[in-house]
Amino acid sequence: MSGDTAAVATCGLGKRYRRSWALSACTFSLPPGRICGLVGPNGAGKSTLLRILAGLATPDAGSFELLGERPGRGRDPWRGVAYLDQDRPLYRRFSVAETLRAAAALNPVFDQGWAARALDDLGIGTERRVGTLSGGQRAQVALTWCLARRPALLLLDEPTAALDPLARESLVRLLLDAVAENGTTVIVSSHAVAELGQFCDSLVLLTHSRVCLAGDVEELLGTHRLLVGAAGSPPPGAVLASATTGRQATVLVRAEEGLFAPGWDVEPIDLEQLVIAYLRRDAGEDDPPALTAAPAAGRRP
Amino acid sequence: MTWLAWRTQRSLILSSAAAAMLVGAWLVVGGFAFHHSANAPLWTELDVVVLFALPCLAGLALGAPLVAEELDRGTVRLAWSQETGRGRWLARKLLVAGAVIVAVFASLAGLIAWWSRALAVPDRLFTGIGIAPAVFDVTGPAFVCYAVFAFALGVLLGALLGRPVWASLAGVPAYVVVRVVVQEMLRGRMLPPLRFADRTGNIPARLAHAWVFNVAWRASGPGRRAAPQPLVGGLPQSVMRCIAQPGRLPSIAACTRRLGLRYTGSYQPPGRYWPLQGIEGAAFLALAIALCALGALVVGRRSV
Repeated sequence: MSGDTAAVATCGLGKRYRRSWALSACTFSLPPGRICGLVGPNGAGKSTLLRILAGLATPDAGSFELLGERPGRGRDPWRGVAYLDQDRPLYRRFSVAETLRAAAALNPVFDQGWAARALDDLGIGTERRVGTLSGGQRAQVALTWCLARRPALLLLDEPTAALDPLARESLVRLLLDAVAENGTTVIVSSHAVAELGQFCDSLVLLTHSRVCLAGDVEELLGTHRLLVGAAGSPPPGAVLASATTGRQATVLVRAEEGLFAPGWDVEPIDLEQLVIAYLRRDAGEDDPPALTAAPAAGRRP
Repeated sequence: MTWLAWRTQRSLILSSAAAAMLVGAWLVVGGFAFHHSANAPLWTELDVVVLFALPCLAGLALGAPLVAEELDRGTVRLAWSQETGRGRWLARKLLVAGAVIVAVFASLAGLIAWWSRALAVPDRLFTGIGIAPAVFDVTGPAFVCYAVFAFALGVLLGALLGRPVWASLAGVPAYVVVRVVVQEMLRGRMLPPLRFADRTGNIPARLAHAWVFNVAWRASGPGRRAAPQPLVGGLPQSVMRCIAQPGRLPSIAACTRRLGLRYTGSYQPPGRYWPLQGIEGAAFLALAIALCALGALVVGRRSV
């Protein structure tokens, strides 16, 4: 895989369930080695996108390439691609050891020794039944299954959902350690944007089953600014969201680094503010929407 | 891979095999009861019903959950996103469960054959009434192939419906329809049936062990349609009138000869037991393979 080949490239990808499109005109590209956050409200098509990429669902429109090849008939379509479903399905009657044996049976590449050690380090005994594990432990077993396949591309659908903070933290550490070691490309969907902000370097934002924002996180943060100034004065740049408190206005604009904004204080923005501003914009039809319900407008240290 | 196919179906396979062995034990015990009492029938009605239903129930019990249970529990999203892919996953599960079905029903058929011989009534089972539907259906290779067919039917319906219980419920009527159509409309013609004709309204004694079907009084002679005659008191109306004529005492045979009527029907002789079993078994096996192929198509295309 050369450096300029995208790990994931989709073109006009769409999936229809009965009459409504769960995903439509989805086009983005992700360079290898990135950790990409996939964000969007419930029902925006995040899971659908990941299932299509994992080969579980067939798209009704568009095409995609994984690791420089177009999955299809006639070859092992999803070699090197591991997927973790949001329900983290496992065979509940299997013991942990049997689960690892099953994973090895289903994958020519599976580092069973590493997986056993990793689970041992996490304090999950291999003789235990999967059905008796806690939700956090099941998520760890499911993620270990994926990681031990040594994938070049890892697709994770809300891996930390419904986990307590401690379990979340340990799951993320398990993920990041393995990913850093192997240079894996990761797409991880989540509602915890602040958490994604800690380790994602790319972002795809889906709303209403479409891609509304995609790109490198640093680049996105560099091209968006929070402006604070007097209410009533016209802000420069494309306004995404605005809020007015008394005589002071707070405005989120899309603008380049050298933004010329006389009369405005220019402040940086973090990923969570950015995502929430876009989600707000697309949730209501009024343009530009209010920043009022404070978290997006409030400053962060 | 074979281990995984076995492990995911282990409890179902073991319970089905245990149930089948119980039925087998019950047959043997029943067989010895028959042995001790000369008047007891070889097959009670319950025997026949149980043996008729067994391939259907056991086949569906193993077939319906094969894909549907994993669809239902969401484990397909695990199994189908691995590198081996859906095709090999399905093939291995089909082979393991299919082999168990064949082994269990072949031993059951063997057991039935063994105890009928052990009881020294071979002619009553295999060369006698064995060719008639009640016994034909629960013996020999066809018996095994019915179970394989029910299994494949369950697999396909499970892959389509995604719920093991619905697939089993839908499978029962589908199985019964296919079985009845084959038995009532096709089996008699799989080998060209032989014909008999009689003037007195009796089935000839030499056909005591044959499978006789499609029997009726028919008009005979060239150029006349052999349509069944309406009956009054077991005989055609015209024959009744002939017999009832005053002043004479005509025999039934004389009347039917004068009227050009014959009691005719088709039959398969007992010697055709094995050829007919072979043909019907092969037909159900082919049907099962076709259903499995359809199931593989559904599995390959299904979005989960």
